[in-house]
Amino acid sequence: MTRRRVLPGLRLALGVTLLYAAIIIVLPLGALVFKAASLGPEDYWRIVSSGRALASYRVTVLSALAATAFNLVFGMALAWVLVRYRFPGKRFVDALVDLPFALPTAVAGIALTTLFAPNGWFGEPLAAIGVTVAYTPLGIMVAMAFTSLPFIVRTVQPVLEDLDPALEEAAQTLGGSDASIFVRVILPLLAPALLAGVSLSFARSLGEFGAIIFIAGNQPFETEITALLAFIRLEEYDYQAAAAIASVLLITAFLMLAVTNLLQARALRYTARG
Amino acid sequence: MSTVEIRGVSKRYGSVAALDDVSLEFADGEFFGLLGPSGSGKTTLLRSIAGFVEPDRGSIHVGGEEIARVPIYRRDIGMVFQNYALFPHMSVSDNIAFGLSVRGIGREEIRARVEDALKLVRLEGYGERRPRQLSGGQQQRVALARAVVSRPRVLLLDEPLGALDKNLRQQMQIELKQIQRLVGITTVLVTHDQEEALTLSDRIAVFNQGRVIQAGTPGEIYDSPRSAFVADFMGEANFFIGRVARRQGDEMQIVLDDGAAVMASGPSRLAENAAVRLVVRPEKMSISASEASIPPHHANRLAATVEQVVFMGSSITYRLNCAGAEVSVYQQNQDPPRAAEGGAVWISWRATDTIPVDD
Repeated sequence: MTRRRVLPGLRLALGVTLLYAAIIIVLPLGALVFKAASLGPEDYWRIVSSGRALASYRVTVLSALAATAFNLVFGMALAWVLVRYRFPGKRFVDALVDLPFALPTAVAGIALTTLFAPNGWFGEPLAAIGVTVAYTPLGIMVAMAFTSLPFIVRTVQPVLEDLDPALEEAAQTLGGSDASIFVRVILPLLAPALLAGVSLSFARSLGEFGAIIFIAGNQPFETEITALLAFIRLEEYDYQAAAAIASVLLITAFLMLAVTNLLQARALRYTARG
Repeated sequence: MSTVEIRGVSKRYGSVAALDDVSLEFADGEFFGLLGPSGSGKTTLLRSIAGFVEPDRGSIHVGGEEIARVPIYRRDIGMVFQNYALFPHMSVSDNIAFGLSVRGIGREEIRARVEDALKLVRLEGYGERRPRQLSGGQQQRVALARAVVSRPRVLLLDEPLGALDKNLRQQMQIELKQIQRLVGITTVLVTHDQEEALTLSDRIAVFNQGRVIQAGTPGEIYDSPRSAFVADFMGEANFFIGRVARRQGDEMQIVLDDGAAVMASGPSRLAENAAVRLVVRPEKMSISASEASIPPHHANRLAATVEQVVFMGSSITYRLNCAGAEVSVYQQNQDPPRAAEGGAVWISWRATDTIPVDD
């Protein structure tokens, strides 16, 4: 046990890690829960189940679901193309995938709003065929999809790269058509990565704020997301209500993480390398 | 079960000819080995039969049918891959059943045939396990069961035992051969291991640089190599260079570069005075301490000095210096060693064991 390691010993490393986790993660979340808990059950329930709050959950969750579903298909296709094909500009496209991570979300929001505004590059032709994106739930979806795309691409890509091409060849010689190979061999092997990507993408969409408020229009009951509602309560100095609404987002995120981890542990039991 | 005919197949990758006008025929039920160094084209030919490689020229017929335009999934060809390529997320049974279920065969029949296949590879009771819970040898057997369960017309084996350690490999060779005899499927084996090719194959084709250098039974390839390449690639070979001094029917006297005379016996196209390269296998040679103790039927005898004696267990390898050339001789570990390092000895062999080869 006296083997020397590059980094200093367990006590120091663990101490720093735990301290950091406590200050950065646990403390703010604890304060939030504490604030929300100071409300008392009846008031808490009244705030989190008010009509406006419920409408905001609906808008947020439905948009996030739609954005994630879109990213599931498009992100997987993008990962597939980046792994399986060689084409000019591939490295550029590969780098472009990370842009939503790097771009300030407000910049993304303004850019998307400019594009999709009724007189924007995309907005105008879309308006001609009767589709309005800006200031509708569709706009929220577009903003969510934009900011969360890298999650699915970047979780699927490495798994796809490691996928032994002989597996597909074996399935082909065994008589599998392209469709049956995709459904029965490739998809199940990608499932853990897809699940991780989907849950990260969904969680990010639930919590996205900066990119959405510019394009959403922010009409209560129509295009108001939960994060914005919490922000509005905060601006009204109603800290407890803000904390209560935020705690709903927090609990949802925690539940999702737990479920995802459970599912992943199950899926990985057999596919992970021994 | 089918014959396979390969006619004039060529395939180029850029300026490299992976296959250069290859023609071979595999008989129904035959176990055919494709042998050669890496990059010699054997794997390209195997993958052309499977359908992963599209030849530039030539044709491949399976059971009389040209398969160039048949998609891979309808070629009805079983294949065992080098690293098995088992589906990690499926049980052993589901792996074996895959080929049957994508063909829409009924549940009951699939169950029965998977059971039979498990029995064939002696893995009864392992059906519910996952591939990664099995040892390398067991995974190899699952891959074999999966490849033969749908009774394909041809079975392709791509270095199937390459990932196993030596003892297991030898055991699996015997098993593989038994199973192939039992199911009787025309089988094509790709390997770079000459011993594996000799053990398993009914016939062998030796590849080099995209061409078939020689094809024949293991005995023909080993005992009558036509070229120095084949002689050297199939086991160890001692080379001598000389000139044909006299020829009488099948009997030939060759004078080596150092003046010693060697007899060769057997059909040959060589004319008198032609330069020739000779091959003698190490196990065909004997070592004698004195000229008087040379076996009487050994027409060839050369003086040599022992440089190294290597004890191999079942045999002993002598490295000798014979007029400047290095010669290896294998002796069964039956008699006591006949020479010590540094000792002067005689090496001898029969005229029929001298093989003239092309360069």
